[in-house]
Amino acid sequence: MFPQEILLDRLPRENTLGNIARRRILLSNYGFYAKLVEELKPRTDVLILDGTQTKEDINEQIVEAYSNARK
Amino acid sequence: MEQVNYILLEKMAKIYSLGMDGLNGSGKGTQIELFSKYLDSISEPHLIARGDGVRFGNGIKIYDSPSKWWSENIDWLLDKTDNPQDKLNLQYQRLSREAEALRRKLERDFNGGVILFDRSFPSRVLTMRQYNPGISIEDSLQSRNPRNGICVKPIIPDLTVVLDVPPGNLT
Repeated sequence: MFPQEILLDRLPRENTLGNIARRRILLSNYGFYAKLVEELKPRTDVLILDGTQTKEDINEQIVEAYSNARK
Repeated sequence: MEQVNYILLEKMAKIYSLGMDGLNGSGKGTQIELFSKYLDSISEPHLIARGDGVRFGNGIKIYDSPSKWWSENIDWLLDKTDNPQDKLNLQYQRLSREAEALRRKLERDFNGGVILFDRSFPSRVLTMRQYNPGISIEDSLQSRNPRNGICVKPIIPDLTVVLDVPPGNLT
């Protein structure tokens, strides 16, 4: 279990603005997003890209994935 | 529990959908613009839409075509002090119907093409978990219109691209 998930479980369930804001910060933590997408994979093809690459390199990988999918 | 068919954009051979997801500032808009240029270069008809969240309906963002409904309701939708989950469902219903309309437009006008989504169902799941951390993926993808009780199908692209960027690198 990711630390973020542990922290989420410990947050009060009441939907106060403060709690919602705290959950948003936790959910935005690096790594949680990628883990979630792993869960979603059966429903869609997923391409997780290192967003710190140059925009041109990222674009090239997206174009390649698209081209392969449409063959 | 009511069974929901999770395929909104039916697997029609000539329509392809691609969703761009990632945290705010991760470069989704930049990549959508670059990919749109690529599709232009190969003369592939395409449309760009919002797949989760809200839009302002003012035509400024690449995914935000002018819309009277969005421009009239955006302030109310963003005010999450009352019935936030109902509002989330209502805005999601709207985006779902708009996505279906775009699919029909591509079929009618071009007999095929590509729909690019700025955010899609991963964002929906994350948003729903902000309000209900224990909610399952399946339940978070259910969207029931609070006004008429109708449940729509979520936006699930053929390919979901996630831009994974550490918070320190976000712009």
